[in-house]
Amino acid sequence: MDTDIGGLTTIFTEFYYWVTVVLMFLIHVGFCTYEVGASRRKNLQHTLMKNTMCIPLITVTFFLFGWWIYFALPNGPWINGPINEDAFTAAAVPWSEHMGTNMQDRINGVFWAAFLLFSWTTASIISGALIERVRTAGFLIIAVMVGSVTWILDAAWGWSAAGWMVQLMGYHDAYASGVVHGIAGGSALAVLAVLGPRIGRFAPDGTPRVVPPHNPWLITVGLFLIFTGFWGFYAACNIPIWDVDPVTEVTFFSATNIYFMPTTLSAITFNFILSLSGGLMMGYVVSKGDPFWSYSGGLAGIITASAGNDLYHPIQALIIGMAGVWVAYKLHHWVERRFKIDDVVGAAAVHGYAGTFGVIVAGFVLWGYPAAAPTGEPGIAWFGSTPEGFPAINPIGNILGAFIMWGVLGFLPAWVVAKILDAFGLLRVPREVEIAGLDTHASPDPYPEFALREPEFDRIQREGAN
Amino acid sequence: MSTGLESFASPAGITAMYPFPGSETFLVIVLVAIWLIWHIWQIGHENRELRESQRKARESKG
Repeated sequence: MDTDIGGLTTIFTEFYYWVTVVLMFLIHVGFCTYEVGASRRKNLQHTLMKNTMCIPLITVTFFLFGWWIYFALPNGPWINGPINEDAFTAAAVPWSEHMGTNMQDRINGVFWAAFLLFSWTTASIISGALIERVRTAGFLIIAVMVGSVTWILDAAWGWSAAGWMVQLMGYHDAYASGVVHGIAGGSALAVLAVLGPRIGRFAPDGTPRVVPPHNPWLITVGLFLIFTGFWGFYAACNIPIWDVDPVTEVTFFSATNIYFMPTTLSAITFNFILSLSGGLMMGYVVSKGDPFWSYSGGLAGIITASAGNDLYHPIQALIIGMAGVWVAYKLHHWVERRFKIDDVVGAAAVHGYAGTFGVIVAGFVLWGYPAAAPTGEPGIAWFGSTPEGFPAINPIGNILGAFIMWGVLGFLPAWVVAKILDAFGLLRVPREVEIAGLDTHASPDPYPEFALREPEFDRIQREGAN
Repeated sequence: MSTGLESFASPAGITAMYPFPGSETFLVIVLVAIWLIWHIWQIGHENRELRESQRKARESKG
């Protein structure tokens, strides 16, 4: 900060991440709007407050231990080294002077908040899948686990240049197809499997019944807000100014991905919009023009291409986005019928299946690209290295990585915690309350003008369909 | 009397700027307590709400 250019670079970087935080807030606004739109009239306040309260709880716990996990555990620990004890880790413990107003540290709080917003997003993805029957208490405990422990552990492993998955497996997931969406979708599916469907969601012969949302337009506005906030999500995955030529030592500044490997804002802008467009187009086709799946297809298109959107050609991003939406849509309906999974917002599909598929695709399409500069001895990556000794992106690393994100850190811990919560009666509301509506304890009817007409699905529930 | 800084002269030498530097560990303990107590309170509050909702639902049926 003692030269003009040094000060400008520092304050620009600080401001850059700060803007991403503001934009990413819109993702949470979108999730809340979307979920409330998807709920029925009798569950609106419960739906809203459940998702809203994951904001402060994840914030508190991410301050207490989430941020430390990211810096302390990139080696596993003990897969590629011990627990980190460097200056970054020391600055991330909650009692550090750097976790507060500090004249010598201009970036820690902003960078912390950017990661925190990813935490909110990861937990919020799960929230929508569970609405209309989950207890707030149970969801918030799951949200803390996913938002402040499992997702940030997977980020330390696979979304950090020093992460063992990057260094040893060549794992590449630039805009978090698996790191955020895969783990959230896997976690959502696990909780759904324990939670069970809404009463009456499946007819006695197993056929799924349609539960109309109370406001489809609020759903689409919510998804538009998520699209908007996603710009901040993408920008936050980059480092805006970095010397990207470590090999020849010629200074060359560019933006980089999270692994300090070169990309540009132009690249991710192209690819974001093309993968969104591909997803919308495929969502529209595969659902035959259904608004919910067309919008969700746009989201799933971005999520699928995100793993490699730092490097793809825009048309590749579009095609990959389209393919991911097809996979997510088909898998969603197969899983719904086969396992009686009642995923209200399609979170396990849009985030879990599309994200996991996207990670696997990136391993093939970006095969041989450098994943990150080696932090230790060059050329020791398990599944291949570049000629300069960098771990190389490869299909095996990304397939295993996708499994770790979705299954090992996503499905498994969420299933265990959901089972424990269920055993203590903290996961699902009582049957009478679900039928009467989760807002019946105190909230006035938000739409009294509709009170005279009982929706068809509410009648089915009330009359005791199973 | 000062709770922290009395001058912003020589900002290049200033580190922590918040009042009561040195109290960080105590503040962290307070935050852990706030976090856990909030969960406990919320579970109790929701249990009471659900019991009340069940009662109302049974009354409206009966």
